[in-house]
Amino acid sequence: MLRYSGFFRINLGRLFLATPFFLFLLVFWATPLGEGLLLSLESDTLWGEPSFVGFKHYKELLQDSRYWHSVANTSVFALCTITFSIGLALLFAHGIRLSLKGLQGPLAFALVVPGLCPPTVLALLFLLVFHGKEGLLNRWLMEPLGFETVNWLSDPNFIMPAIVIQAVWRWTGFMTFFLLCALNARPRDVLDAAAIDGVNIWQRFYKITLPLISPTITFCLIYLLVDCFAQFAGSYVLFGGSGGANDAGLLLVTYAYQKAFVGGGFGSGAAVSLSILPWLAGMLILVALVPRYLWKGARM
Amino acid sequence: MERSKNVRTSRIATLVVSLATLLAAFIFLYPLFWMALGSFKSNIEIFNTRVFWPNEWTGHYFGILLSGEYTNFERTLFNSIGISISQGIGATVLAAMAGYIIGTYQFRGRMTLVTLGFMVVLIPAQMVALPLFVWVNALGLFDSPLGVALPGMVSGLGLLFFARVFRLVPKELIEVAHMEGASEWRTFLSVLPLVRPFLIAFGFAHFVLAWHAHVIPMLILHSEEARTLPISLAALYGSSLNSPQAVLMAGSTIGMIPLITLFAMAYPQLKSALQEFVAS
Repeated sequence: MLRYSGFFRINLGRLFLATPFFLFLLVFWATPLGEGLLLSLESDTLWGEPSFVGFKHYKELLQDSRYWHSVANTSVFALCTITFSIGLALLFAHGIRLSLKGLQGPLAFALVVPGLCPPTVLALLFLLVFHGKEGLLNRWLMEPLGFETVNWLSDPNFIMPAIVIQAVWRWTGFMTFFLLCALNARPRDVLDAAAIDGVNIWQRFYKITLPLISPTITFCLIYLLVDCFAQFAGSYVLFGGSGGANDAGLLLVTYAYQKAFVGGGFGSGAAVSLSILPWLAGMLILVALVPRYLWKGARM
Repeated sequence: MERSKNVRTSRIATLVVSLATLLAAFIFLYPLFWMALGSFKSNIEIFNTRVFWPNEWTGHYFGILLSGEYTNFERTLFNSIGISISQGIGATVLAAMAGYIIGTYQFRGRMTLVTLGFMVVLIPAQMVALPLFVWVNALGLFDSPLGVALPGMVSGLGLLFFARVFRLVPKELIEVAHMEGASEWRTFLSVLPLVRPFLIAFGFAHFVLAWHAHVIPMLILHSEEARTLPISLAALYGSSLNSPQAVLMAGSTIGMIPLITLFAMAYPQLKSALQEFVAS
């Protein structure tokens, strides 16, 4: 790319600039990761020297029904959160663009504010929103529509919707902000040309806008996926580190925490933590491939 | 005739959409208004969600919060601010420096470094929280703010972000600086003003993430004095439902203020940075 003179001197300078980051990475990320790998191969002894047990913990996980339950829960949680959050964000981003000029800035700003709440605060709030009889959802949604009131946080059927709503509430604003910027950055001439050629609004959205903003959507997907798979605080405050009734809200990170500190030991806890990676990678490949398949050849 | 009718329909449409979006924004913000008002309410009022306005505007619960009866609020707020700011600045500096090299130069092993950055995105610190906790203990940083802040300065997303950002800087500028004999460090400093919005955007985003961190501070910061705000608030919640909930609401509301202020300050920069980044 660049040609440079004084080869040696400049290289030292470059080394100086790039090294600190990777040094930190080595000390505070790679080392714990390696240690975690070793830990997951050791026995759960609390006192004394742990012994090397190989892949015992991983093999046990494969037969552990609670583990599979947490895998399924986390996947459902991630997929629902992503679908609703990005769907709503697309809607809101268009809504903001079509609103009165003076309102656009404040609206985008206001929607992001829930995302600034620490997840703990948010879980506290939602405990009250989802409260048995008096919660806001029951008062305003279930009762007026003639449904029975639901005890969101102790009814196993409604725990998952509750934590999904919580995550959607939190992230939709940020996603709207990202998508709004992407929508604003679309080249005007392409859209105008399509409008003049009589391409209808849905086709314009599906065939032009979506492919144009798809890198941003992919970014949102990755961000949400990683956050959902690493989600701990929200469900920790809602259920105090347990999985809720019938384990209906048991997520992978919560399960790792339980294994490490409540039952089991550091070895099996580390095994659960590390086993998240293949699931996350699998989901990533899935969400990265779907748009490619859908818009194969859609680009003009 | 036809034309003015079209203008009128589109005006009505704009108004309808504006109102609908406003309503959505109101629904999203409602819980937060309610939380802010909750800092003036008694427990009975709080658990009765039909009450929106407090009976009495009293500073009573703020007084309890600051009195330290339940939690050392000022201390934890100060801890949170200190840890989050140092994490935000540290992560931005580290990622910008490395991102500049990766984004500007082509060299052997470059792809390996990018892949490494991507791996850090895929395996966030929460996932290795447990061994990290053991390791931080071994380093003697247990219960120290450094034990949380230093690991928090590694941001894979930051590396990838800045690698892309520095590709936007015109190569000629860097070549000119080199030709004038500027060192790599000087060159880096001279292009920094060009990417200012990106630095602010990333610094802010990382500040927010640091403020929100839960697992790692919970494991590493053990003593009451070292805790960060989210941890002490969570502990306060867990303590008892009989304790005045308003104290919790007041603490949460005050804890939101630094974040909203910073966001308002960074908003224009954030927007222009994102717009430019997305368009590239």
